[in-house]
Amino acid sequence: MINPLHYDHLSFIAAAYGLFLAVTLYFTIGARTRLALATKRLRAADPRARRNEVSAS
Amino acid sequence: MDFSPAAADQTVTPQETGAPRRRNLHRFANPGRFLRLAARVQPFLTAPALILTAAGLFWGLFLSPADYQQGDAVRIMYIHVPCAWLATAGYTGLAAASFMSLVWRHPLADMAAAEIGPVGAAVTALCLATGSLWGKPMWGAWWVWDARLTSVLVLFFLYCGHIMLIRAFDDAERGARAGAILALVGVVNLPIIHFSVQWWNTLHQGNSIGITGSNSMDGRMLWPLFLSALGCTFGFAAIVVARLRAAVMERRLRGLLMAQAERAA
Repeated sequence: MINPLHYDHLSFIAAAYGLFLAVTLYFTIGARTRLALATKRLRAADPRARRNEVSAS
Repeated sequence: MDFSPAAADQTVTPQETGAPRRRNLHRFANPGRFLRLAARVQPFLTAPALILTAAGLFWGLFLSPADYQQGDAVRIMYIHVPCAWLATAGYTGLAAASFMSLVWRHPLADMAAAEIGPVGAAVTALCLATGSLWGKPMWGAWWVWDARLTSVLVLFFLYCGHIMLIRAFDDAERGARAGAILALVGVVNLPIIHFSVQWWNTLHQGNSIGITGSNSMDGRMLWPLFLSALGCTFGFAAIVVARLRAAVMERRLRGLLMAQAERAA
C-alpha cells in the first residue's frame, strides 16, 4: 500500500476527498433525520400509519 | 393526489373492481403502496452504496498507481468523475420526472423532481469544486472558461433555477409545472456537456472511457473508478428515495392536520 503522506499535491487531494465526505454526510444525515422525524410525526398523528409499515429503516 | 390516511389505506385490487390490471407507474401513485415499496428497496440501495464507494475510494486512494504525467493528483478523478456522471444522470432523472409530471400527471413525479434537484445541484457543485482542485495543480488555474467547464456550470445554474422556480409560486402546482418546463428545456445542455470536448478545442481532456470499449485508461485505475461511480450512483438513489419517502409522509401529515382542523372548525 502506498503511503499517502508522500503524495504530491496532497493538500488538493485531501481537500477534494474532504469536500466529498462533508457533502455526502450532510445529505445522508439530513435525509435520515428528515425521514425519522416525518415517520415519528405521522405515527403520532395517525395510528394507521404504523399498520402501513411506514418506517424510517 | 389524495394523501389522506384513508387514501393511503386503499388497496382495492383490479379483481375487486373488475378493471383490467394496470401495470404502469400509476400503480405507485398510492402513497401507502409507494412507502411500503420504498422502505423495502431502501436497504438494497444503502448497503451497496456504502460498500462499493468505500471499496472504490480506498482502492483509488491507496492501491491504484499514480499517473505518469499527473502524478498523485489523478486520485481526485475517483470522486470528480462519479460526481460528473451523477450531475448529468441526476438531471436526466429530473427531466424524466418532469416529463412524467407534465404528460401523465403522475402524482409522485413532481415530488421526485423536487427531491432530485438539491441533491443534483450538490453533486454538480462538488464536480465543479473537485475539478477546480484538480485543475489548479495540473493547469495552473482554478478555473478556465472552457466549453466543458462552462456547460457544467450552466447545468448547476439549471438545477438552482429549478429549485428556486418550484418554490416561487403560491400555488405549488403552478410552480411544479414551471419547474418541469425549465427542466425539459435544460435537457439540451446534456449533449452539449458530453460532446463539448469533441466540438470545441478544450483544455479539459477528452473522454477516456467509452461505452463501446474504447478505453484509454489502465485497468488498475478503471476498476476503482467503476466501483466508486457505481457506489455513488447507489448512494444518490438512496438519498433521493429517503427524501422522497419523507416528502410523501410530510404531505400526508399536512393533509391529516388540515382534515383535523376542518373537523374541529
